[in-house]
Amino acid sequence: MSKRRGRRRTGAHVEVPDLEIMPMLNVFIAIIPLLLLSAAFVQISVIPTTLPTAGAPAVPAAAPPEAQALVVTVSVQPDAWQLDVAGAGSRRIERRGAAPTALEDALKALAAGHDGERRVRIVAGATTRYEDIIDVMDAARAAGMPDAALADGGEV
Amino acid sequence: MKSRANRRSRWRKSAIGSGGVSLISMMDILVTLLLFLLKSYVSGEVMVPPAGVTLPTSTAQQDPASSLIVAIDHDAIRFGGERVASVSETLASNSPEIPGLTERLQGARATSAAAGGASPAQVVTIQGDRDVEYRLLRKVMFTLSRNGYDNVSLAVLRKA
Repeated sequence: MSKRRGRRRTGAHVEVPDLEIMPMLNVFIAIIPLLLLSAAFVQISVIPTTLPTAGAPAVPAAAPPEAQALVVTVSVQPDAWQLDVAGAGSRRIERRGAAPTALEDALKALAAGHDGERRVRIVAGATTRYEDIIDVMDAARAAGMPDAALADGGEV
Repeated sequence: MKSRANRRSRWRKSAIGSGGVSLISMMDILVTLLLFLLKSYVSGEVMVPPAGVTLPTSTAQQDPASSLIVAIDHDAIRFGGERVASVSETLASNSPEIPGLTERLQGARATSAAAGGASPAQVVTIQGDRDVEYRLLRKVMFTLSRNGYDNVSLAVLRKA
């Protein structure tokens, strides 16, 4: 009899409580719509820029040697980029068939030999697409010249 | 006999339970969704381009700040979501300034001044469609500059 009682004690069925997931589920269902409303699925950035100044020359005159500033003027043409360096000549890069980083490489080469201030002036034509201007700004930034400003092409 | 009946009832219960709605699978989905949303959660300024505007892509990484928004699409120029000028009329005009935009900018400045206090230089973000021509963009910029809004940013889609 005593043996039986003992067995009953050791083998007694212990009720394991179920995990209560409903409150957690309710919290999730409340949080998810809030996060959906405040989530940004499209990442937007901004590029601070300076406004084109009317009357300023598209290609500035040669800077005095003490200024030590490299100013590269990039003219965005339908089929090419024209690079003019104040007092140091110009270079034309054909856009058709050029490598995607052709402009960036050219700007890097220009910036490499200059330790001082480096600036890029973008001269766009009247019908230049906005995206082409942004591409030049990207190339300038990648070449280590983040100060890319729009300059007036004089044909707008 | 009683214990056998209990066992049978327990077995029946478990059999019924396994065929019901599986909350665990739903929990897995919700946890995954929650983690994804937390990753894409933005605590700062959320900028959404208006419908019809396809922003150009760029490697720029600067987050947008709170600003006035001028959107340019193929059809209209909008200030704060409200149409202020038509693109075709603006391009046809010889004036470098956009009168509709000037009016709204002056209104915004007056509202800001009426709110009191020395307001910091107001930032304007231009959300231009990637195919917009520079002559149109320049007119918008000229109008902004003419009305004292010199702090201008260009909105772009961040490249992955």
